[in-house]
Amino acid sequence: MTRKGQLGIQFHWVFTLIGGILFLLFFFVLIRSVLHSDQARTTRELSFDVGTIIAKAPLSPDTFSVADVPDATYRFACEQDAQGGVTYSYVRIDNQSYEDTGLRDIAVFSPATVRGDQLFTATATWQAPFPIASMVLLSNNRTRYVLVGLPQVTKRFVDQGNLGGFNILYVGPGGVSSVTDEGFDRYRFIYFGGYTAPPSAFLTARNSALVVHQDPDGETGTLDFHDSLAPGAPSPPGVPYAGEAMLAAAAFTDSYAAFRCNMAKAEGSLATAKKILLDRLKAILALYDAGNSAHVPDGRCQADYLRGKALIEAYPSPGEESAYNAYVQQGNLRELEDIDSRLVTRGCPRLY
Amino acid sequence: MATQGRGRDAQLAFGETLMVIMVLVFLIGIGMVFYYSASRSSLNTELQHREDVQAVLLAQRVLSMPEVACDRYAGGSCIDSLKLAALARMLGPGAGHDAAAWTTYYGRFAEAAITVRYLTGAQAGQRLPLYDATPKDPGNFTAQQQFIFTTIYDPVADEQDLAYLNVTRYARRQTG
Amino acid sequence: MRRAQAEIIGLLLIVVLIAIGFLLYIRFSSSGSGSTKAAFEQNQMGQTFVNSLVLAQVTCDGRLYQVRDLLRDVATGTAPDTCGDGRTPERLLNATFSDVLDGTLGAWGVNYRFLVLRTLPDGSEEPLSAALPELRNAQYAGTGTCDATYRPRVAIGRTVRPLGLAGAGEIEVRLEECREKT
Repeated sequence: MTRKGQLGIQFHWVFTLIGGILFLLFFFVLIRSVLHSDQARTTRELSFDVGTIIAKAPLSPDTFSVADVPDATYRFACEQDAQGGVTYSYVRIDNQSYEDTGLRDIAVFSPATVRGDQLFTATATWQAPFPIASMVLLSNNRTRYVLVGLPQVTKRFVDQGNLGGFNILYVGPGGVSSVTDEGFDRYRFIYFGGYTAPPSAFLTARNSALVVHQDPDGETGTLDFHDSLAPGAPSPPGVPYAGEAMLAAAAFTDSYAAFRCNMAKAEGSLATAKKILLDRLKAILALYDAGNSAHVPDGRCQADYLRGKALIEAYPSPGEESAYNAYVQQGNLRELEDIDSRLVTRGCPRLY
Repeated sequence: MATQGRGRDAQLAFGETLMVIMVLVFLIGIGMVFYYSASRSSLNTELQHREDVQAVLLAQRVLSMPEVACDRYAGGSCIDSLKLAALARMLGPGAGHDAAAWTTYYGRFAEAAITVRYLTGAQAGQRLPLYDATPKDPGNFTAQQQFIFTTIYDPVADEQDLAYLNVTRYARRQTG
Repeated sequence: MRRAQAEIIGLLLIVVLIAIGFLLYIRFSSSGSGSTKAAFEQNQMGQTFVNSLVLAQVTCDGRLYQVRDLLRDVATGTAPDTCGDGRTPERLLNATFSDVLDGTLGAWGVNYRFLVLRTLPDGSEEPLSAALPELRNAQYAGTGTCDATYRPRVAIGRTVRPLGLAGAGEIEVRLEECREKT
């Protein structure tokens, strides 16, 4: 009898233990799933908020903005297909993405990874020489941009783009050896002139460089992308650029592939911008034909409009690199700007 | 007899424990139903807010497109009337329709309708349809409407007139 | 023994209920960042309204003026006496504002109040001109302050222009809406 009772008591506790463990397991799973869904919701909201911050930037051109965001790692990606079309472009927060095509039609030039609790944005309007598209420049205070070159050149680059709020260090020509590592996440060296290797502490894959060879007019030139400063990293051939905004875009992105992909987004507006301008010129020129004396611009302007129309019609399409180089070398971009300035001086509607 | 009495007690005790567990499970079930329905309602609110924000962004984006912006000497940010008219022709159904431009702007605006209405100047009261991709099955979409004001600059007459954009964005209804 | 079991079950029940309550609290206590949400209120309509209105041009005495320039001339006493159609510049501006508001915010049912004020250097405000009274949506009766029926006024657009003369203050064009403060 006593033995039976003892056996009964032992068995009773085993069932209690099993029941208790099952109960605890159930609540462990429940709590974990709630926390996980809460985390997913937070990431989703943050992804939307960051997308909104970026989408808002082009609405205030020439404005530098600082947005406070939760401390996280923000990864920016842009992918193209074989034909050069943009397939995916997104921002991932701590490796989670809500929408893989969220940035497909916003050109964002930034380091591949931005870590921290602030995002800096500025917007440049790409003009080559007529306005084509808005480009968002994005970074934060943990990426340092080292501008190497003559002060009047580097300061002009920063002032014209309203980029003074970014983390910028000015260094004179040949002074790059004096740069010290202050613990930033990455360094991007932008050389306005020849390339001299920075101190060995910076020669790692996380740092990059851009060498700018500017034409005398300052609006065009070529760019050498050094996506990695690690020894032995390849450097692709020079890439032509047109317009200060394109130069700023190349300065803020840290790889040629990202630059090319986001430029493809901006170039998507080129064909439409060209057609709009030609249609506009057609409307202005029609005033001369109609002899509408109330609104006909100064007679001297007609020749400029006709010449401007011919130049815009001849403007190469995106992707026609050699045609574009030839177009620039013939001085056509400069001529378009000169025509536009002349029209302003004469009180006529501008070319674009 | 005593054995039967003890057996009955044991059954009663077992039944009591079982009842308690069933009540517990029932309470937890109620809790979970409440939790998931509140969670669903919160998600719908979140989605609605997102759609509202997207509609506002779309309206502001139309205003800031460089391809229709007026030149910076016209007295502040504005839209060039000739560029606007050109874009309206390219996106409209008429003779000037441009399929490539339509594809580009549909990629940006998706299902939406944008109309410009002039408020002052020579064209006061006139409407200019700029973009119309109203869905064929509007019943499956929710619509968010935004009004955003701007000035439109006529470069030939050198006049700046007040206008507003009526932007309606259609978002597919969330099912389930 | 039975009583002990009942007490243990009771304790367990309390623990379960507390756990469920805690889970619900976690789920609904966190909210998204407020800054971007607040930025996209109706204010964008109000802000673009006043910013664009002051840049629009009106014809006065055969000449085109931007609204902001004509307001400044009215404030500094350098505006033309008449705009050529028997109306003073103030009456022309008031008619323009009134027509635009009636055809937009008024037609859309926005409970608005529109004012043009001069802000003096000491911070006090006064109407810029008696001929530029405050404009309100005609369908809403009542005094200038939102009464008990309507919720407090919220400025949804304002633009401030310095008059350009030392010590003369500023002109403020303000658009308010009677609605819930957020």
